[in-house]
Amino acid sequence: MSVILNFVESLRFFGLPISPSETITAQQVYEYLGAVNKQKLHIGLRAAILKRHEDFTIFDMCFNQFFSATNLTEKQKQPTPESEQFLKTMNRSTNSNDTIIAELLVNNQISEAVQTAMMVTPSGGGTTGGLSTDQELRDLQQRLTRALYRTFNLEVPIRGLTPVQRMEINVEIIRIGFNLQQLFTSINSRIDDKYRKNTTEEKKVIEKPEDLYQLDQFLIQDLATVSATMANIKEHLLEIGKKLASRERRRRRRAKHGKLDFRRTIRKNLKNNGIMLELVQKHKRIEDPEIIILNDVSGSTRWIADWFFVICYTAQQVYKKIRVFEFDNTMVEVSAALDRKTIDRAMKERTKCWERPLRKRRIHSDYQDSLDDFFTLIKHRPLNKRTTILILGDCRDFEGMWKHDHPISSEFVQKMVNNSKGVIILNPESKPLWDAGDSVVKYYQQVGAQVYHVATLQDLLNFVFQLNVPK
Amino acid sequence: MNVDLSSHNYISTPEIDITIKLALNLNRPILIEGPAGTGKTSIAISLANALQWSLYRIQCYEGITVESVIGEFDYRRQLLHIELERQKPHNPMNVEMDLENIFSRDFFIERPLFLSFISDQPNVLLIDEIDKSDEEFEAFLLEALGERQISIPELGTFKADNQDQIVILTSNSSRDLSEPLRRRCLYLYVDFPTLEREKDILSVHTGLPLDSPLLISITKIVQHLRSLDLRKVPSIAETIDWANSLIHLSKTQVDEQVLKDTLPVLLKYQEDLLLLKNKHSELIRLSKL
Repeated sequence: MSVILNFVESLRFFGLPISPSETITAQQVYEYLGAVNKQKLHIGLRAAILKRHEDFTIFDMCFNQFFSATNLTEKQKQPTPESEQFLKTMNRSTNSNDTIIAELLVNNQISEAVQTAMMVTPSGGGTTGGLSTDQELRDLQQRLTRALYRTFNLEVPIRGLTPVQRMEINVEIIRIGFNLQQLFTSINSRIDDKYRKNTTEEKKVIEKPEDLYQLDQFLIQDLATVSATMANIKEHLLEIGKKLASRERRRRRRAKHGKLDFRRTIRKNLKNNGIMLELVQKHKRIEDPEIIILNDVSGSTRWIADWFFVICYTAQQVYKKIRVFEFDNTMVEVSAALDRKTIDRAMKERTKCWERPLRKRRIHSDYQDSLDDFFTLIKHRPLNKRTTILILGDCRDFEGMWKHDHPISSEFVQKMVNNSKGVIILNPESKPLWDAGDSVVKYYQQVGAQVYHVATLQDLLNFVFQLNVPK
Repeated sequence: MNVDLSSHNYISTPEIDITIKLALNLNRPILIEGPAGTGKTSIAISLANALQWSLYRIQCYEGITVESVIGEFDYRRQLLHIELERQKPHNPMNVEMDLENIFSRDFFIERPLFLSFISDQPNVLLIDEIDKSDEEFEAFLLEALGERQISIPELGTFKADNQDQIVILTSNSSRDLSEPLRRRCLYLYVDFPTLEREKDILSVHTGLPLDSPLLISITKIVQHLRSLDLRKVPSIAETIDWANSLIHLSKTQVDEQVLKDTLPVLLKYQEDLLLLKNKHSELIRLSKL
């Protein structure tokens, strides 16, 4: 049992959620298949432990590391002269300075460790206020890493031992390696913050690990302060979107059931001798809402546009008739991208949609030209009273022209309002900034658009998923 | 127990063989995921044929109910029975006895899940496209798959004692399945086949020899199409259809004109056809490498 327990433990270190029942199944598989045929064991354990295709890569990596010593001949299991020699070299090379540095690092005394590393190395000695070049910074990080590796004999098991010896301490390698990886990230970021101040190159941004982003936190966090990258929150957004979509589907299904239909109930129960065994409810006819989404991708809202696209991608599960457009100073339709199987392919396709815009792109917002293009793009399928238009944008009509006392873009918004069920504008900008500078929020409100402030991702999700849904 | 799917026109892989073997020996359901048209459903059908076991199939859809897979009481028969009982000489005990009788299995219309569970005969239960069903239905399956039993209030709990039963669920991942359901199953991912496997599949289904230039060109073109960013990449079934179309047209190899004329058999979206509009010669060149 210990082999499978250790293997499962190493998988858990890499974030795979494996339950006790899966461990038991894995053990049954191990007992049934044995460890002689590695390929069979690989497939069997994967079938028993994993439940998602996305986890295959981590599993394969751990399996190859963990079971690398199976199927070896007795000769292969013996230590080689090279491995013996390597062990001796490594043991000799571990000196007291390395141990001191490693202990300081493990005890989180980063500054002291850095000072010691600088003092004991001729090239780094004497620099106390900061490092002058990036090369010196990298050298320092390497010195610290080497000290840790030597002290914990990490290189010995990795390079010096035979496969059998390696397998015995595989769990330890994975455990220490994983912990050290986290430690290095933390150390490097702190060294960057503290010692890079004098370097000439641009500061490298160290991304926080994905698991630091707690789902609930970033949903209610002010959009302007969410610092997660697209890669970090894309999966979370898709996950939330799927949950919301299934909730809304359920609600829409329930909403279709109306009051009791007496006539049809009596007719249906004639076969039961008039006994009311089967009730027939009136079926409400609910039109699928037609949704058109216009997503502002100009410089000022670009940071939220990607997230909104992911939400639109997920929203397809609820709304069958959804069209998505993007604009800055011109408008393109990106609905075709929503058909892609994965969000990554959808994002790629979305970029392709921008290859042939109606006008030359100038990056700055121009609501006038963009909305003009919008009406050109939809001329074959014009707006109707079942269409709801959702615009995500800050209403900053930077390059739009004015006529008398109003922006020309507001005439297009009015046309949209008159020809559709409604126009909803979701503005991520905080309210005090509305109508300041080139913001034209009040002109759009005057012609009938409803403008709402979206402060959090939760607000955004709520707007998209609860649109037109009968309560 | 060894299963030879190839004897029933299914070209298997070690992953499929070992997972089936484990499912049979550990008595666990298999959840098969993968893109549409990669042969997930065919695994269950071929397995039933190979083992000579009965196949019970549940095709899931949005709104599928527990009644439509377990069964329901036949109201009309129940009422007829009561009417018949009324004609008999009066006996106060009759009414009480009837109530017990009419909720017996004689009045129960049995559906695939129930039939599969109570059957003494070895059988394969295929729950196809589980991702199309609602969460309520999925939750109901947890008891069936985990405890291997189903409960009907009027009839009691039925436990599947038959060890010769295998449950296969398939999903295209159009909806994310719940963790508890996944946990109860062995997991198998079936992707599009490799070049060699696709050649074998085509050879089995079309009768073309493995070294036939037509078969080699078809597989190479299809494999290349799958690497492109198409809205819908060709499935195995579409590849077989294409091969059969070419055989029907008496073609011995794929040239530019043939490809142009028959590409709609493989690609089902106009935008995909447009994407390849000027690339026919390139595809032919690649198929000859």
